[in-house]
Amino acid sequence: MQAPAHSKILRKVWSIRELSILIATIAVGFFFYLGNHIFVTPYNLSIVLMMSSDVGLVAIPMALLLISGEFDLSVGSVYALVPIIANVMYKTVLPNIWITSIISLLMACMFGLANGLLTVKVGIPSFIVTMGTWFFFGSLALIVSGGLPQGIPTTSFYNLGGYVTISGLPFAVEMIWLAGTAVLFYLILEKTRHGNWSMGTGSNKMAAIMMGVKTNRVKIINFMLTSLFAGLLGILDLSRMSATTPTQGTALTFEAIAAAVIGGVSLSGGAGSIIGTLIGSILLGSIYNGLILIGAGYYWFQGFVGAIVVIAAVINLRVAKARGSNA
Amino acid sequence: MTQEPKKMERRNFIGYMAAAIIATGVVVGAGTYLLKPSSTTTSTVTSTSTTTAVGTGATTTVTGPTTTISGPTTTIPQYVYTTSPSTPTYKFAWIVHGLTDPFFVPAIQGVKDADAQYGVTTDLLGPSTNDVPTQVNDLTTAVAAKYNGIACSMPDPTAFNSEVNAAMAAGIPVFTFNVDAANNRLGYIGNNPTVQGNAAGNRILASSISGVKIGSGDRALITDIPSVYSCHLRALAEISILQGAGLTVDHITLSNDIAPNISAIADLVRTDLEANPTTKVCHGCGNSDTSAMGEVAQALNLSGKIVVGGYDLSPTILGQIQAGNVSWTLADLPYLQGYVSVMLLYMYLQSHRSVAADMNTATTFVDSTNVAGYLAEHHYMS
Repeated sequence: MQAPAHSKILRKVWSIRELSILIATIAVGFFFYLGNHIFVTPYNLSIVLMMSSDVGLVAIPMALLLISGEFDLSVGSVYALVPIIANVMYKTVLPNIWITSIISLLMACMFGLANGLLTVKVGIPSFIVTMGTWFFFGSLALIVSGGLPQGIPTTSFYNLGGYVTISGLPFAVEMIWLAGTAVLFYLILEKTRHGNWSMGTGSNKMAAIMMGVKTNRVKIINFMLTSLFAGLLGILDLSRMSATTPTQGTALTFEAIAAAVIGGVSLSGGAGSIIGTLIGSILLGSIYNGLILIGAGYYWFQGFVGAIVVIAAVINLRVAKARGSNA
Repeated sequence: MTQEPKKMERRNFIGYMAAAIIATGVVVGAGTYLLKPSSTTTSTVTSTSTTTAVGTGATTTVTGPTTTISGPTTTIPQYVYTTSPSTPTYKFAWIVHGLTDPFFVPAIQGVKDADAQYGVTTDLLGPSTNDVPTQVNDLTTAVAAKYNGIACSMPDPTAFNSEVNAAMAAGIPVFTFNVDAANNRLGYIGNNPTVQGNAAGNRILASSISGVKIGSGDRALITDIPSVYSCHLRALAEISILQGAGLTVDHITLSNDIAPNISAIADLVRTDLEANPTTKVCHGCGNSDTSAMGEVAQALNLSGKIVVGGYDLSPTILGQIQAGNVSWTLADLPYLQGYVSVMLLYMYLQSHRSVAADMNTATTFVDSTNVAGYLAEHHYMS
């Protein structure tokens, strides 16, 4: 006897991996709405999405890297260093901020390449390598900038990451970048060989190698993508604020990892979801924005994030076990 | 395959989802309930009526040493108030670039005192340590939250400008404090760091050790924190004054992560002084490095042998001045930066958006002659 149509639909809905995090995000939004109705106004939601972009643009590539079984702790320093390089080049040797931004993004790729080579060729755990590069790139940011904040005149460069007004509402262009990044990495992970190889490398590296997967190349590419997008976020923030400081991004690394974990990425590799990471980023942005709206402030943000990361990790583990036991 | 395993899978999944929702709801709901701002109270003022008798005269006759004024007297009645004029319960945002910086402890006390005085509520926002993008996001959210007014320190010259413009366009008044930026804000409560640095440099040149004035050829050690723009401007001004007078000036640049760490800064300063024992001047540019220099002066028994100065008020610095290890500090008066920023927001709104002002929180030297008064003030002791 065939199952009724509605139960087929329900089964399909329940099989959506990201359903729990989506429901949690909606629940969090609802509670902040109860705390301050402004939370769901279009203007505020646009700010939530902007704040989500500040994490998501790094969390999504980080998710792919985590799925392939590696860490990158240096993203916060790369985020600070890349716009400073762009700005200093602009002021000293090449008075075109667009070209200097592209050059500095290429340098970001090189930073990722360094992380990848040290990890896969030298054999040092990525945690150690990227912790070292976190300090190194952070120091470079201070040296290149002289420790000083860097500003640029507001020009057409503002349109790269600034605000545009649609129907009287300001929308940060970063949101469009976030949407595009999510689509891109979803396609990479779900539809391309590289994504498939990333998943295989993270779940069982030896088996992947035996099946002909070039695991080293996979990891190096993922390191480069992570650094590239960390640098891109720095450039977008430079565009939006017309300023950058060498000490920004101190919490970015762990917020990006938190968003990925909340979204269902396994820290041991081999499992995860780009859509889940995107929703995790939106959840973090909602929490940060909502806490300000209810007057709680920054101190509570880390506490809430910590609690939700642990809860999400436990839930994901249980769900994975339940799915695995019924395969 | 029987139906049983699928039912169990579904039950498990429902259970896990329910657990996720309940857990998240409990965490967020409890936080929302616990963190909701308390209701404000308004104060009442009662005054009594008085009458004043005033004499007026159509003529004034002056003869010799006597002046006679004659005419009918007029009584001017006074109105009686039993309560103060009613005001809305304003809600302000106070956004600072370092909520955990000890310098802002008196400032936060000033905010709370002003809240109680004017019957308003002020939410304290901002990152724990200097993080401009995070602080800009806080300002953006404060504008969206439609606070009645915003006071915000602006440690970057340009990063806050578009958000300030957005706030002003939305009818939300914005004042800055502690660190200023050239934008559309209504007023600034704080100091001019270059003026402070010049004053410090001149004070150093007016100082002497064992009767010998500080002057050309002497070595000075200055600390600088470039990521905090006001500290950087102070250091630049001091260096300029001292180099102009022929002193040899070396400076230690402190990064953002080390800047609040008194112990780490003390290690750097001690290393420098032990390598350069002829150093005559040691001057900080902020709270932590000034405290560190006092600590080093005490540890190396340099009281009376080196001129140690700096900025800001903290119990540590005031204690070091009293003990003779620090010669002076320039009081940035953080309490006023907190109190006056709330006061000006309140006055601006109460005056139908016409009263706005800057306030210079003074370049006051606190030294052994007046430190006792500052030590007695409760809001300088955290």
